[in-house]
Amino acid sequence: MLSLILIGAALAGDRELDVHLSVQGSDDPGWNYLSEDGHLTSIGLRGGYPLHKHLVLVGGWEHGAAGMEFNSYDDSGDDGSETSFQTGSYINQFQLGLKSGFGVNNWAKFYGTVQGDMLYGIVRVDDDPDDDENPGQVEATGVGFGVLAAAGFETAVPLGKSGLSLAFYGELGYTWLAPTHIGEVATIQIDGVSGRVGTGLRF
Amino acid sequence: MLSIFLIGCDPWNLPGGGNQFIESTWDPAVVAASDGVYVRLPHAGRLVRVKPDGTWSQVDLDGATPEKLIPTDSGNGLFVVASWPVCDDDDPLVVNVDDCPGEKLGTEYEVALVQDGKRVGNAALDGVAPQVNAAVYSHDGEMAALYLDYNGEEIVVDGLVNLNEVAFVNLGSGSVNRVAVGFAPETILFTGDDKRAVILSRSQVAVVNLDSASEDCEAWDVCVTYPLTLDADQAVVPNNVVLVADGSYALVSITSKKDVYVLDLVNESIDLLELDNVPSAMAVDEANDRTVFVYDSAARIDVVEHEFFELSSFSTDEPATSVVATSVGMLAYNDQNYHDVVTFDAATGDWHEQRAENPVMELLVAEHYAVATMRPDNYTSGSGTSAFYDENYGFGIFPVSPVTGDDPIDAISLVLESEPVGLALSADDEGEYALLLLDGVDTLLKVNLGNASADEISLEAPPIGIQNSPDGRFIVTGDTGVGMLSFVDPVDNGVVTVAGFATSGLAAPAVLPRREEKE
Repeated sequence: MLSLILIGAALAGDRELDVHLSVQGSDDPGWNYLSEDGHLTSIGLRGGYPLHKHLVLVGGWEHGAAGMEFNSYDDSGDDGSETSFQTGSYINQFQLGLKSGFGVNNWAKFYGTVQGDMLYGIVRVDDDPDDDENPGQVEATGVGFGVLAAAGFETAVPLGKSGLSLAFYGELGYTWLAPTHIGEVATIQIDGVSGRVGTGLRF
Repeated sequence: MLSIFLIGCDPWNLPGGGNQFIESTWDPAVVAASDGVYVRLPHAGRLVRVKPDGTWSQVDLDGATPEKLIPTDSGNGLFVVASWPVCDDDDPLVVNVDDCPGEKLGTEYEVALVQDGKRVGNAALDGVAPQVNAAVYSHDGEMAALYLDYNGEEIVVDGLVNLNEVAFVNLGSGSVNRVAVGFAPETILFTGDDKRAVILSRSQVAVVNLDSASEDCEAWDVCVTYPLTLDADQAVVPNNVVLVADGSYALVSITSKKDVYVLDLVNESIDLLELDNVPSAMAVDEANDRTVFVYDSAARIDVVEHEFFELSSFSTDEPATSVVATSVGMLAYNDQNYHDVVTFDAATGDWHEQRAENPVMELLVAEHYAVATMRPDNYTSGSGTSAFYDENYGFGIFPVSPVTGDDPIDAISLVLESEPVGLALSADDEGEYALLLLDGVDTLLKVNLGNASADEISLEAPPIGIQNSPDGRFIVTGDTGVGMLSFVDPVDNGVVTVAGFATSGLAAPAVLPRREEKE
C-alpha cells in the first residue's frame, strides 16, 4: 500500500484544466432575498499549473445566477395596491490559490486547496420585464473579497498513450466572503459550506 | 452557462426563480422639499432623497427606520418619526435583528428634523414625543408646532407618554421647547405676528407666548387659558378655530354644538356667539373683516362682523358643508349630495350660484376659477345627458366673478374617464390650469381653465398622486414596485421621470444599529 501511495504522489503535480459545478450555501439574510433557496449554484472553469511536484497553482472562475419575483402590497392608501418586479442576480467569482495532494495509487488522489476569492456581483431589478426600455430598470454592481478552503478526492483515467488523463473530482469545503455591497440594492455575504464536482484534463 | 449567454444577448432577460411577498417597497405619500423629494421605504426601513436630476441617496438616520414623514410648510426639510431596534444582548455575534432573541428585542422611537439630506444637528430632536403626527407652522416659516392630532391610529406607549404636549421646534437650529397644555390638543394657530400660539384642546383654549422679549409673560409659558366650560364633567371638544385679520380675536366652534366662542386675545375675555345650527365650516373674509358660517343642516349663510360680533343671516337654496375665500368673495359648496356652488359677498349678503353637475369631491380655488372633481351621483335619477353625467366622475370649472347682480358665468362640467386621483393648480402668463390625474390612465391632463381644453402629458406609469413642489414643479407618483416619481414642469409640460429608488436596500439584512453607543 505504501508503495502505491508513493507512486501516486509522484503524479500529483500535473497541469490541470477543469470544468465544474459548485454549490455554495449561505444563511445570509441579504442573499436570501435574491435566491429562492438561499444557496448559489455556479458553473466554473479552473486551471492548474504545477509549481512543485506536490503543489499546484490553481485559478478559476465561477458564475452563478438567481432570479426572484417580488410582490409588495401598499396599504397606505384607501384601496391599497399590489405591485411586482423581478430581480436577477449574477455572481462571478474569481479564485486564485494553491492545491496540494497525495496519490492513493496511479488513478486516485486526495487533495486540499486554499484560494483567495474575489466576487463581482451584478443585481438587476426590472418592474416590467416585457418592456426592455422601461425606466424601472435598475442595475447595481459590487466587489467583495474572501477565501475558500476545500478537501477533495480525484480520480483520473489515462487517455491512451497521449499523456492526457481524464479526471473526475469532488470536493467539500467552506467559502467565506466579507459582506459585499451591490450598489445600494443589496448587501450579500457568502458564508457557508461549499462543494464542487467536476471533470477535466491532466497533462 | 445559459445565463451567461442571456446576459450577452439581452441583459434584461432575467433568470426565473422563486417568489417573495414583501412589505411595501415605498410609500407613495412622499414629501416634496426644496432640496428634493423624500420617500419612505418601509421594506428596507430607509429614507431616500430623490432629486430631479435622476439621482437618489439614502438619508443617514443612524440606523433608524422612518415610520412617519411630516412635511414643513416652507419646504425647508421635513420631520421624520423613526424607530430603531434595540437588542438587550451584548454578544458580539449578535449583529442583525434576526440574530437577537425575541424576548431581548425592543424598539425605541425618536423624531428628527431632516434638511438637505441629513439630520439637523446630526441627532434626533431633544425630547419630542414620537406620537406626534401633525404640524402647524408660523407665518415666517421659522417655527413649527408639533402635536398629536389623534385620529384613531395606533399609539405606541414606551414608558410614560404625555399626549398633551406641544413641541415648538425652531427650523433653523432644531432647538425644542415643549409646552403641556390642557388635554388632547386639537388645533393650533399662530397669531399674525408669530409672537403667540393659540392652542385648542378639550374644554380649554390656551395662549402660549413665543416672544422672549415680552414683558407680560415668559417665553414658552401659557399666558392665558380660556376655559370652555366650568363643569369638569363636561367635555367640550373644539372643532375649528379662526383668527380675525388683526389677530385680536379667535373664534372657536365646538363639535356638535351651536355655540361659537369668541376669545378676546388682547383683553383676555371670552364671549359666546349663539347660532341656530351647528356650523359645518367657518372662514374669515379678511377683505371685509367678517367671519362666514355655513351649515350642512340649513340652507343659510351666517356672517358675523368683527367689531360688535353681530350676526346676520342670509338664506340660500341649499345647505353647504364648506366655505373658502376667493379673490372676489367667499365660496360655499357642499361635498355631500347637493350641487350648488355659491359665491357670497359677506359685506352685502348678496350671492349668486353655479351648478355642479355631480356632487363635489375636492374643490380648489385659483385666482379666477374654482375647480372641482366630482363623483357619480347615486341619488339623482336623471335622463339623457344628465343621466350620463350622473353615472360618471366629473370635473367642474367655476369662473369666479364678483356678485354684482348679473348672472354669473356658467360653470363648465366635463366627464372624466375614471376616478380622479389627484388635482393641482398652476398658472402662467397665458392663463390658469388644473392638473388632473385619473385612475389607471398614464397621462397627466393639463386643463386650460379659460377654454376647458386639455393637453395630455405622457407619464411612464399610471399615476397615483400629485402634489406641489416648492420649486414650482409638480410631483406625480407612479404605480410601480421599484418607485417612480415624475417631476412635471407646468410651464413647458416637461417631464423628468426618476424610477428605481425603492430598490435601495431591497436585499440587505436589517442590522442592529448603535451597538457601539450602547457599550
